[in-house]
Amino acid sequence: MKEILVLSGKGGTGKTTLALNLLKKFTNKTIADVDVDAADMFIILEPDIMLKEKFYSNGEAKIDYSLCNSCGICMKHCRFSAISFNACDRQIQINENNCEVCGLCELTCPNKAISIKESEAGEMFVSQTKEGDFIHARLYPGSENSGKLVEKVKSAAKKKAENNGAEYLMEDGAPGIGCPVISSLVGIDYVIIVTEPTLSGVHDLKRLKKLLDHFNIKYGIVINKADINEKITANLEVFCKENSVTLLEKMNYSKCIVDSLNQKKYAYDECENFRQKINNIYKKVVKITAN
Amino acid sequence: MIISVASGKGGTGKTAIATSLPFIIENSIYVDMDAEEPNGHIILRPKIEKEENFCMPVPYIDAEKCTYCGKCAQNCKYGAIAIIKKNKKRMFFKKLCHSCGVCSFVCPKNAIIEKDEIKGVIRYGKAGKGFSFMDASLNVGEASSTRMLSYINKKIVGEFKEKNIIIDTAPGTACPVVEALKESDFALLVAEPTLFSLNDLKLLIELIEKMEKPFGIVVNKAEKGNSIIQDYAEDQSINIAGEIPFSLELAQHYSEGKPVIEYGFEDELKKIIESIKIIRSENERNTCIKR
Repeated sequence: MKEILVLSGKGGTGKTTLALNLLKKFTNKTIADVDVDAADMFIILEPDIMLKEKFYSNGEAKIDYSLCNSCGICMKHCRFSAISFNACDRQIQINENNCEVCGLCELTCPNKAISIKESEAGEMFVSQTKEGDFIHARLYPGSENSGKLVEKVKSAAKKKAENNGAEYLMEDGAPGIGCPVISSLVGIDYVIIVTEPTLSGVHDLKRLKKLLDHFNIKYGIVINKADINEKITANLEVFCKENSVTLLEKMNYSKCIVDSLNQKKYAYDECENFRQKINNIYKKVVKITAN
Repeated sequence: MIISVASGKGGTGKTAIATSLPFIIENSIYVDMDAEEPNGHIILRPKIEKEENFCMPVPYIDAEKCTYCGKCAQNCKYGAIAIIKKNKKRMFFKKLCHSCGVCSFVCPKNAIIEKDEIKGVIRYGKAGKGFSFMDASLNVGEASSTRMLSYINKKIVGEFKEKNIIIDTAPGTACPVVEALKESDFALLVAEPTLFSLNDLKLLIELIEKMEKPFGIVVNKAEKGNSIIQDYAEDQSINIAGEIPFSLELAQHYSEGKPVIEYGFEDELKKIIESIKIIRSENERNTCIKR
């Protein structure tokens, strides 16, 4: 079973669009959306949810005021400026927005007045869709530990894929290069990077490339909306050659693709040029990952 | 006034709009808090006057003092330390470390010391006709920008408090976005008329309402005949702060790394500022009435 992940660095280049339409070609596959704080695949996949599982993160630190004597030792130790003395209420308080639930206050309190309680931070869904079994999640807005939820989704998706005897696990990733992206890289056989010919896109692509090289992960590039700037597209092609990076395909901007998505349709079915591009990307990725 | 420009979905035009606002807001500073993929500097081409390394303390275990008791691993909430006493094995997963100090606090042998390590860079400078500029760039491979962004927030409410601050945020709804919204007086939400953007906008609004920030929506890439964002806003009684029409020419202009305001749409951008002032004062009136 090969695990394929679609990333971009910069947001809005077309990861989800590509990942969804590739599903039309990869027939024996399981699907996962590892962009846990802004999951969008479900909008087109319209999943039948078979199983929901709550996700708990570290939670929150709570003060038992019957034990607290406002000595302030916790405040002195806290590195996240999360503990302060509220002069109006005349008590020590924990700012949950700053608190990283490390537990140092619980350990340092001489009166054992602070305890760490787990809290619900999201939900994972295991579903059936017309395109295959699908695992995705929803991290509650503002919650921490997105990396941990990504791990949970990947683990459930891998198990499902193995049970199904799937040949591929297709994962739609998050933008950026931080913890949710780093977590999503575990176990990946190949990354498809979707980029765009803009200075911002190229800048972010280079940072993502550095991350993938650091973790020794194989990848290829798709230049989306290539006709927006032909000069930068040409520069990207040179960049790929000079760095021995596989250029999987170039695709032009097309209103047909945008309109299809807005109508909850697959551009693969509606847009002929795009369909050919998807076929080409599919063939190349299958060949590369077969080795 | 502190305005945070956010979106939920990546690629809707946060940076495009945020980098144009300092040209029309007096006494302003543009702050790029998308530390994973900062793009503001590409558009604004600032003259950098100062660079600051951002460091966090990282624990080192003194092999001679360590007795493999495992207290550090047991107390680490992030799974950053693993101790196997039987095999005398010690593993430290630096990427998971949150620099909270718990391990060094609990070690009975004082075997853990912390050393500062560089996690990213913060830069200060000037751009445009002399407005201020600040950006944060997380080193590739580091998992979290939250502490660096928290440090920048201190600067915003301290050193830069006399300025009008425009914060460019990361995509998504997780910790980096929470940090970039914490000090803001107004959240300007940039949406595009697509189902994905609408979905992520709803998630972001959930977060912003939880944080009790006044907000308004800008519809970027607006098209006649596609009012999914405006319809949603009307349905939820949410203010539309402005619209920037879809323009392939603007996309091409911006792909070259040029500010939107240099292309045009100055009236539309000014209208956004006016709307922000109106929405804020309405919001303040309503808050007073509630009291």
